[in-house]
Amino acid sequence: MASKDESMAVSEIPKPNISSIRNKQLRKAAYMKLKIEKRKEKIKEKKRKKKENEALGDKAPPKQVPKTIESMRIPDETMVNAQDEEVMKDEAQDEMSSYFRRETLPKILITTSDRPSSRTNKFCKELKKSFPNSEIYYRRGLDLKKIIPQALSRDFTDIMVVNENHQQPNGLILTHLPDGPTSHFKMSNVRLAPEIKRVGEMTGHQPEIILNNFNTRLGHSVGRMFASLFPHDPEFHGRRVITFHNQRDFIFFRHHRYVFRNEKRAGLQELGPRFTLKLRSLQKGTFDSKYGEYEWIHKAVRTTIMYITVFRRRTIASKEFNIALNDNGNTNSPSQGKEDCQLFHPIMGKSPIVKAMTQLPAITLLRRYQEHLCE
Amino acid sequence: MAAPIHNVFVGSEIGLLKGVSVQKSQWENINSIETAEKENEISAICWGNDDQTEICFGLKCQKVKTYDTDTKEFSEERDFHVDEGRLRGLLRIDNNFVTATSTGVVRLWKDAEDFTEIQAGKDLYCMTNNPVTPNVLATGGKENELKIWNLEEPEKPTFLAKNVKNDWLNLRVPVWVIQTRFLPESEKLVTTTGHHQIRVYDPKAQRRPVLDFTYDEYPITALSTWGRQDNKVIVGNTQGQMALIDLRKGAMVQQYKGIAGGIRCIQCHESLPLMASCGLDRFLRIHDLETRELLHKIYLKSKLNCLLFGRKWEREEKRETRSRGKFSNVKGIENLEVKEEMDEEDENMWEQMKVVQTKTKRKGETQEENISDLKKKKTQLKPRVGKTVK
Repeated sequence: MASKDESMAVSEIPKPNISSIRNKQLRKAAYMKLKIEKRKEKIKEKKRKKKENEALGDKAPPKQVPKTIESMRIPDETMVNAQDEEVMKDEAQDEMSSYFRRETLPKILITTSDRPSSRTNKFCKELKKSFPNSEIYYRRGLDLKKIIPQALSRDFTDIMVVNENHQQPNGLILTHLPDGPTSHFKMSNVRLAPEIKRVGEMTGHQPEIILNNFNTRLGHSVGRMFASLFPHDPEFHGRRVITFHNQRDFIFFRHHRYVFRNEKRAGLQELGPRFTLKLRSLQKGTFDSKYGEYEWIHKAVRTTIMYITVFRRRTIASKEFNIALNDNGNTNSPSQGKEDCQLFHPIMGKSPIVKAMTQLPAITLLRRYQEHLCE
Repeated sequence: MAAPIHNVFVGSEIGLLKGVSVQKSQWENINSIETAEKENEISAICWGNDDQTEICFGLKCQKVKTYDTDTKEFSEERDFHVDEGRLRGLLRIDNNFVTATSTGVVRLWKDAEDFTEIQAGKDLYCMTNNPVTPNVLATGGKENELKIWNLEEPEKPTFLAKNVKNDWLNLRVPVWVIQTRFLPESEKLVTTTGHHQIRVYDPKAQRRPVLDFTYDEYPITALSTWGRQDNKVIVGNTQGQMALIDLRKGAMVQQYKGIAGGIRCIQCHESLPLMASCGLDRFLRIHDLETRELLHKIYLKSKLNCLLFGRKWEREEKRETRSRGKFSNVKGIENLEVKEEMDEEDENMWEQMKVVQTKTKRKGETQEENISDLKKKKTQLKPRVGKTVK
């Protein structure tokens, strides 16, 4: 550095340090000037590089991958390999397996905590619209443990309880019947349909479902629970799609209708409620918070960050993904058929979720649905 | 050594027996994956002999298989079917199996036809024996008080516990014994319950527990004694809280952190201060009991039910540390052992040592002061060593 400074001193006077200017206005002006110069230089450099790369053609150095939290993430050791025999065996015998063997049809009971506020009620109504074959029951101050046998006798396969605090829905308990498991989620950012801009009207078609990034063993269990809430055969002409997108352990629920504008572009219109879930606990068996055994429970104090990330994942390289797509249409989905609705796809870019959803590579996937229809 | 030595064996909920060589963080399924069925859930596991070369594991459907670790083969499966209940306990006493089912039938099998039966009451949750006197069994369950049986007289329990007194509202305290263990080298028993109580029974003293206290607020599903210490036990509950409990104080001494799911089984190493635990979160964890440190954490893919901690650890580990000196924490353990040995040597050494006198320059100082200096040193050293040994 020192030698460089010396050589500089010979050719030109070094630039004064801006922070040594004591007048605020002058300092600001100088700073702005410096900033503009820097920007100009940056643009210049960019242009030069672009030109260089164009000149080199194929020999150009490969584009660098940006370092984002997602791309830097280390895969969790419990990540499920699609070919893993043991996990496949385990899942083929778990509590949701009867749904995946197409033996049961989902039927959902939606209820709330005691004396729900009007907002929670509205939310439940929207949930009922988005989940086919569901019914809302007033809680009537009943214990959940007493509801379960009643629901069982009426052939319900799932119970969904919306809890609220300060008249805002803030929790969701999902119990699969008859033998569990039960998951408890924290719910946040609830947006009802009228609060969403340019919201569309919901139709009664059976939706398709997209589950993203439920890749660890725990993620698989939770993803299977979500998948088993929907009827098996989506009505593709309804163009309704429900997405559970997991990003850093937050599960984003979105409900869209898509349209194919042309071969390359697709449009999305949001339909239903919008909310975010975060897993609090996964319990074996039907709801029993006192004596139930927990498969996973979120603990407030953790020693290392390792435990906080439940569904840690590394973004699937798009190439791999395409290959996987060409193979069987879905990469990691639990044992559902080819024509089925579950798909895992990477969402590129670092834009916020909603924006990402509109650029959806999912659209390409949706196109595949249509191809399926044609086949 | 080509094949890794398995020092922990874990039984899973889908019937896979897993051999884990902890130091290398390697594991394998000992039985083939094709046999993985929920029906074959491994619900109990025990050593087949004292050399720890045979492993007997009982399936939920009341069958028992034996695996030989030397020949790496399974011997023929034995069917101890009693009724519809699930297997809750399995023991091996003098080459005979003892099984316990959830319906409360405990049987000592001399033959497929010839057996001694104990009716231990319905909703049985646990069955253990006293390692000192293997013929003495203890059973307990839901609304089924702790009973101690002698296999020679199966008609009547030798000890039947009495429920604790009614609570301050004069309501009956429900009974739900989930785990029970005999305290080492004594007749005392420690039990844990579904209502988060830990109780110590002394059959010689009284029928009610001599000690009764609670830990946390969830059913305590796992219990283990620690080596030869009769005043410390390790418990684990359904929410993944695991702690070392001091029975003298009736309080928690250490809490082990970082466990995500309910604990099903805990076992301590015979001689070293190591503890293995497994449960619903599909991880096998090895903790150092003294430092509370998590030494190993191995993902085993299935929900885990029960485990066996082999004693092989010690020798193998020492070899490793000598050759590579890589495992720093294990080194610590080794040091502890060395300290133990050192303790006695130290004592002798100090006693035999001559008092070295140096010529003092100052007039006032005498011999005695030197001696008192030495004594001070000794007293300083002693308690520190003593602490680690205990």
